[in-house]
Amino acid sequence: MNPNYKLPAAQDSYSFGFLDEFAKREIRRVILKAISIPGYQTPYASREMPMGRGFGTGGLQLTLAMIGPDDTLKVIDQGSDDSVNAVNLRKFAELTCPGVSTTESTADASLIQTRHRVPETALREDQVLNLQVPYPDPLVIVEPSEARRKVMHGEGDYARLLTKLYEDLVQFDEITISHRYPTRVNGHYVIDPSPIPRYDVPRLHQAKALMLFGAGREKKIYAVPPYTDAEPLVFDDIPFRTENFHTADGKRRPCARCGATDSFLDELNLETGGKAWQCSDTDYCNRQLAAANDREVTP
Amino acid sequence: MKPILEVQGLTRIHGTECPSCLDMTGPEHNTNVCPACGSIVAAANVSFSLQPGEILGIMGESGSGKSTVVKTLYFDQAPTRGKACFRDDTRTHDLFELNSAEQRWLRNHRFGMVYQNPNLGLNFSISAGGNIAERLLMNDLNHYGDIRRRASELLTRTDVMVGRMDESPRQFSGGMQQRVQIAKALATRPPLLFLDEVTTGLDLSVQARILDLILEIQHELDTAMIVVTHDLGVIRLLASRTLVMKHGRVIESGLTDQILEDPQHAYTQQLVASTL
Amino acid sequence: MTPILETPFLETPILQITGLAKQFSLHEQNETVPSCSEVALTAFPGQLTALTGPTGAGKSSVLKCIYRTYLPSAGRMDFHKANGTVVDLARISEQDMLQLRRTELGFVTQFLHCIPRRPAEEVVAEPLILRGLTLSEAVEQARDLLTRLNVPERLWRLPPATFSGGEKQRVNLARGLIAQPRLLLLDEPTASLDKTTTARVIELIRAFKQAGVAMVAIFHDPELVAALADVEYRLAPPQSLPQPTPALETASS
Repeated sequence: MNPNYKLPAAQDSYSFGFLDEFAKREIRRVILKAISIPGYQTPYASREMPMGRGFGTGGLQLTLAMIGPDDTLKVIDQGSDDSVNAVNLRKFAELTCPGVSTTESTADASLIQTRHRVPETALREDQVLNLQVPYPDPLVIVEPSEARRKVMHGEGDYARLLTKLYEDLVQFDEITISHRYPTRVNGHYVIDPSPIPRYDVPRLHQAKALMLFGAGREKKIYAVPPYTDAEPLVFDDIPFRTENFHTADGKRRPCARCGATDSFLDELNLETGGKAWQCSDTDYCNRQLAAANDREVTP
Repeated sequence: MKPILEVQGLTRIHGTECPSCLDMTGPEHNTNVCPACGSIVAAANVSFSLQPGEILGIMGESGSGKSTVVKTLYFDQAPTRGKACFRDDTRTHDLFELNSAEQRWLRNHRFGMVYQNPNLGLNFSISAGGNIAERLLMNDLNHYGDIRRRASELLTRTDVMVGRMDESPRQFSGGMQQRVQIAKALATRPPLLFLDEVTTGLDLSVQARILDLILEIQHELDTAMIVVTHDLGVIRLLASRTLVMKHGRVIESGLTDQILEDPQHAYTQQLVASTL
Repeated sequence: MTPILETPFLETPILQITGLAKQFSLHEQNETVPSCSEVALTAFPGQLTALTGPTGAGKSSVLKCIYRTYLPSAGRMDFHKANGTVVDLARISEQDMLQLRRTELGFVTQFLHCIPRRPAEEVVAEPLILRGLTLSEAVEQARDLLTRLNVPERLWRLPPATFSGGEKQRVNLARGLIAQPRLLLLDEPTASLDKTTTARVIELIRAFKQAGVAMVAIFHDPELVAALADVEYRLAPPQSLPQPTPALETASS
């Protein structure tokens, strides 16, 4: 550490962004390393946060290490900005980062922290997406020893993971992984892209925005840098398939609320006993709805 | 013809080796445990060469070091010292100087291993076909249809019913498990195959059919093999040359018919006399 | 030991044995058993050299020493290879011996040592396959030879383990003869054959001589020696060596 480095004088009892400057510097350095080695699970000294592990502490530490007073933050949980987890994390950021503005709009955010979804609205080069990760290592299902997993990652040895996919095809005629689909980054490391649905995996590929993955409990940070290949692990003759939301007669279901036919839908059980499908990304749904209303009003 | 494999001074000592380890163990001391430091001399100064397509037998009782030799060559264990050179079409590989990625590459692409215990060679939590698929995937075959085809060809070749390809080998008989292991080992058509007591513990009729299969494969693919066994019958049937090991040392080597009909070492004479 | 029949030889010999001795050191019994000693013989292409002598004179041992099934205890066995070079069979490497067995040396013993559970025709064809012929080519030649040796066609696809002694012996002969080695070692090849088949074997051996094959043979029947041998060596009972030094070790030191 630079011996001339001085901590800024504390304004309150907390430093800006809750984490002390040493912690933020360490995380930023690790982020740079993660970007330099796309897909590599870079270890870092995950700090205790004033919330339990599993509530997004990995994603939050990424956010707090990067955020500045001129940033605009959006926090998403399962596509929604107003679920408990998203609200709490957003409030925490507002509390500990004076001057930061928050938003529910994907387009207006400079920094987005998310759990389980990548926003429907395409991200731009000036945006960063921080994903909360429960289990960072895709190899954990085939190899219990972390030491051996490290060697396997280093050597790009994913045959056993592919064997798992082979077994799925043999047993179920299709690959049954719905979330956390193993994805090869920049032609080498295979990552667990966090519990995003298969629908979102293609959004990591050659994305304009930087995608960072933070696992608080497992103390790992990894990255899919902008304009980097991110390809789901597949067989040459069996294409990667995403959720299609087709009805029994093969038609694409529209969102029950906004009518969109190009978004990831959540299946809802209605009190009346039936089922309904609705956009999982609330910001996107609201925007579609507003646009539809505009069209009705304008003519 | 150049040998496919040359082994020189292969030594494997378990424990804190001391200067008397090699002098105070071996057949003449009737032990492989060093009386000075308690280290176990599993194999000492083993040297031999193997021609392409040749079957070499390594014979000895348990604890003689015969399995240690193949396990070090297959990189399951690291030798304490020694040198082994493997030659393929393109170049010579100095086995114990390679890094782990290079060793893994050779293991997956050039070598095959069939263990006495199918647990070591097979993954019982996946199907028989999956076990073969894994090895094909390691060899960068990434086409599901091709993998299925190749796996069923291999299982057919080794007389495993293709209809049971998608079952776990856990449900198979011992003989069938060995057949799946052989199919897996052959998946990449390796020029060198290690067979470690592959028929031990099987019924005689099952043993015979496995040995036939091994010979047929050697004829068809011209695979060089090292066959480790304590069974003189296996040696007689498979190997053209044989090493006899005891307490970690090679005590005798020669043409198999000579070893069996004119054994030189007291131990081999005893062994041959007690079996025939 | 002296050659009994003398014929003038103009050709170079294929095999010259001098001072060959074999004795077994039995460690358990702490005993040394001489098996043959002071053997000297010369074999020529197109000639049959017969080994005779009382039981225990070591006739079979001589053949086994030539073939390296026994490690000779002393002596030289100079073999003139097809390519013109001369090697000492007592001292060549195991690999070279295996190579010679594949290409130039053949051995027909009294007993059939072969891979069990394999059809007779494939057992016979195997030496040709080892030389690189395809299975079908080799089997075709094997069938031809089995016919000449009077092995009924119904047996060709069956493994020889179930055959009678005479049938086995014929399969064994066919296997030894098929590759037409330059030097053929015969250890009582007609021991359990009937008159008809023996006559066929005699025919075959004569044909081999015509083709230039050298043979060193042991026959239980003196009539066969008289009928077939160009030269006969009578072996005397063996003597112990004063100081046993295996030939191979002498070579390396």
